[in-house]
Amino acid sequence: MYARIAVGNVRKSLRDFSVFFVTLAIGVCVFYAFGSITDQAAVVELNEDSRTLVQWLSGMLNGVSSFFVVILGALVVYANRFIIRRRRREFGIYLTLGMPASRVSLIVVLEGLLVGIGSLVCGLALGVALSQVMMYVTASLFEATVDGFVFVFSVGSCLRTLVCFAVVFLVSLLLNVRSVARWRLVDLIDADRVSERERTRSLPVCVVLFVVSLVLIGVAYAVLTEHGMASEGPWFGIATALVAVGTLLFFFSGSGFLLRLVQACKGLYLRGLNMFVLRQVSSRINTAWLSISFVCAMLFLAICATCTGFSVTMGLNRSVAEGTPYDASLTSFPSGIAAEGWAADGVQAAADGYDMVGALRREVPGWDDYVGRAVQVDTYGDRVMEPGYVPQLTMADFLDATDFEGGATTDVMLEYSRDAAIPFVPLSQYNALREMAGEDPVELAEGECLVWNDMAALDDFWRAVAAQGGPFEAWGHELAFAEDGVVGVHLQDTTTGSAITGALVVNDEVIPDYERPSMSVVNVDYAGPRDEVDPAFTDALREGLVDDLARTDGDAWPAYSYVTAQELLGEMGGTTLVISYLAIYIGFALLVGCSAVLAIQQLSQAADNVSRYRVLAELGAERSMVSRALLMQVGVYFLFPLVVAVAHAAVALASVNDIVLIMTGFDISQSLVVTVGVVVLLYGSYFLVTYVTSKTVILRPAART
Amino acid sequence: MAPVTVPVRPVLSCRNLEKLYGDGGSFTRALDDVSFDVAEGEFVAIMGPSGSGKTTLLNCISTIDRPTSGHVVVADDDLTTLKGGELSRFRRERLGFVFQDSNLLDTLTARENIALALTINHVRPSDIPGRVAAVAKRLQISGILDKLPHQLSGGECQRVACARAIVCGPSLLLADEPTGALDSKNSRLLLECFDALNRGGATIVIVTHDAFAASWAHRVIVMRDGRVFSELARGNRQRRDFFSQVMDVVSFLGGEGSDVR
Repeated sequence: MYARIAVGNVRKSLRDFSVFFVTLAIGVCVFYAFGSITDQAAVVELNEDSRTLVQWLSGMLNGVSSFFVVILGALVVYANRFIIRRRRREFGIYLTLGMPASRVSLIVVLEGLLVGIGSLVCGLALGVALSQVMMYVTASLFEATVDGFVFVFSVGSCLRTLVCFAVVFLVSLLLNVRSVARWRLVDLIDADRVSERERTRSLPVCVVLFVVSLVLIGVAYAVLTEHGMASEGPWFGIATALVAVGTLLFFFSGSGFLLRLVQACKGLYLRGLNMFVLRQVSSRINTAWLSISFVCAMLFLAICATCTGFSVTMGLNRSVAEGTPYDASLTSFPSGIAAEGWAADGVQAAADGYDMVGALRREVPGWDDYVGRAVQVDTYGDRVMEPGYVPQLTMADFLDATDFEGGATTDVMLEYSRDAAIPFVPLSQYNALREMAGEDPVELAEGECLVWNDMAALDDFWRAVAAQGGPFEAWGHELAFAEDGVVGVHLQDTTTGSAITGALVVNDEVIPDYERPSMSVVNVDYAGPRDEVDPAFTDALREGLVDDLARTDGDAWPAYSYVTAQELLGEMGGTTLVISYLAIYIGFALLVGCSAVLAIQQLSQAADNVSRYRVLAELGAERSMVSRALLMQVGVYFLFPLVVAVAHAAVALASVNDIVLIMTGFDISQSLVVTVGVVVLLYGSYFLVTYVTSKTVILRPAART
Repeated sequence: MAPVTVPVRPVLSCRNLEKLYGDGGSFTRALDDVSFDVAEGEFVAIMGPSGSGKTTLLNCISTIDRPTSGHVVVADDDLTTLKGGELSRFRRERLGFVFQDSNLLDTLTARENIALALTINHVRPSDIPGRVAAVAKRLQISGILDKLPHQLSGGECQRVACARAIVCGPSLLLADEPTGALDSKNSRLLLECFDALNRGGATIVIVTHDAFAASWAHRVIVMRDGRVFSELARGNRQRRDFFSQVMDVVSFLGGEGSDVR
């Protein structure tokens, strides 16, 4: 019989349970799908590197999953308590009829199990479907193929899902049972009366607090914009604390302030149902300001995570595409590399006349079979690892001679590199590289120099230096900047899109013969198609340079390290996948969590609102007027935290943007479109479901008239 | 018992009202051929034991429910032919309601509750404060206008509800057990309000099973088993005398409907 009551209750309050059910099912689905990545990958034909990456990815995803379970767990507990609290009267009736409290608990447990098992089964079914889709996406991102149709069911992930959610349910059930056991009958029967007594808050106090909250938030924005995220010191912490307190105050006082504001303008306040809607909203927000603040925080994190994730992904993709103009790049340090215990004497490199290409041709078997063209670039004047070496110029010389204000992050980064030595590159080598990259050569008059920089974020700084600075002195030569003194071209293949952040290109004779290069780079174009030559070439490199690569106890010559475009592009595909999966997963978890909280609050409120809306109908308000009022009520409730979260996110992302821009040269705003899409889709559908469901609850009784 | 004469044209006219609940074989006849008129400026009470059909009757008059057959005409509008939007319009322009539980919106102050009836009626915002103040003065609730319903006593709530019901100047004020939840002092205060409103020209129909409340009316329609059982007119008598006459009928009915006080 108790089971029948439980089934009946679930069916009756399907609406209360529906959002809860859907949210849980989505949660289970996503949890399973992301948990089964390893098993998906097992089916896909991946190479060795990609497999390691998948291992790494699933490790990261498991971390996020624990976080996801915590959020969902909190949501389950919250939603359950909310639903139970709303049904206090019903439980009161059971108790009055003489049902023992233990039986009431049993009903609660059965209901919980029913919804839990239902959502678990639906969620798993959806999860299996989603993981099938993800498998093909993963495969395409790794540029691997899946042969025909393969069905993947991950037993491990399924078990993990079952265990995690069993624990979540168990905890929430225990909490429910405990709260049922602790109720007193009188409170249960009077529940409806008690809940009507809304706390009222003094309006003038609200107005003052609201202004204070705006000031706090404003100061926090200013601090963050001024100092950026990467700055040293307590600034970031201060901004975070200020904005947190400000946001709490904002929601605490916001509805009161809004009320006072609209009341002051009678024409608006005394029109249609505005007065009613405003009072509804403000009484809701007054009681729920704390949970709304949390929703706002979660939304903020979701927007930031998704947006940053996508922009880093897109940025990396673009920068690796731009950063790999050559088929392969080899780097050596003819004068040694380690700063501490530097032991290289550069004997071998000197014996080879610092001709890296020649040395490589000697060491690497079949070099000429693979290499169509090789260009060497040396840097001079910055052998700071050599004890007692004094660089010709340092960043400090430029910073002091130049009046420049970049963004907060750029300034911090420039200050960091104050002591860095400035490398010099001979014009002939630079022009050879330009030719290889398909650019026209540049010319320098006597005593002229150029800045070579391929990091977009620093272009403005170097332009300022070239315009204001000089003349500088190096090896006894006076150097002035040529007109349009900043030039580009990639020094070597990199994933970051930039490899040289400020070197001086000078006429060859400026660099004296006795000066030894600190670093030599050889860029290579293959003799044949990249995908054919690359594997053989890297094998030959490993064979020929087995004693030299990554060596720090002697000469890093003729090569210390190498990268090939093929390898970088492959790696980046994986990293991109990891980051975008993480961003989607985290953003998704947070978004679903906070939308569900809002939806559950509004829906369970809808039943209470039925009587209020009936009064409106009795006073002669038309249906369209009532649905508009409802739309406004639900809309404001959903929009309020979103607007605040978006404002916070805009300021935070502007600061993140500086960092991403420097890292990848990619502007974050482009991925805002994707983020906005995700937010609108998820948050918006929860909003729609809430509105439509509330409308059917509220307008149904009025429909008889 | 003198035949009731209706001196002026009726504001409310019920003709052969019938309301059936249930379907097919088993149904309940909640209203059975009910006909009566209420003249402009009249104060009528509908009495009867539980299940006599008085609330169904009020629901049909107030357009909350539709009769199965028959007609309800309020100031030339046949309510049984009105549809959706017209019904809403009719309710907000012609009718004022007072319920047993005052039905004030708990989130709005007394002033806003009264003003809401006007804003729903698309009254110009600049006119609203004046009209609310005027009606509040009439019902002597000016001092409590800025309180929320839960800060008011039951009697005060009912008077605010009354103010909300009449602020739009309805043709007809309907009250369903308005004194049902009030103590005797507050009942008297509320009934004095109705009386004052009636003297000011308002047409009032109240449903009650309180003989004391009914005795304030000009005329009492007693219902039983869905029919009009009898009609009592006060004429020029003192309220006290009318009260004893109402009590006699109630006692007579009491044998069958013991819940009638």
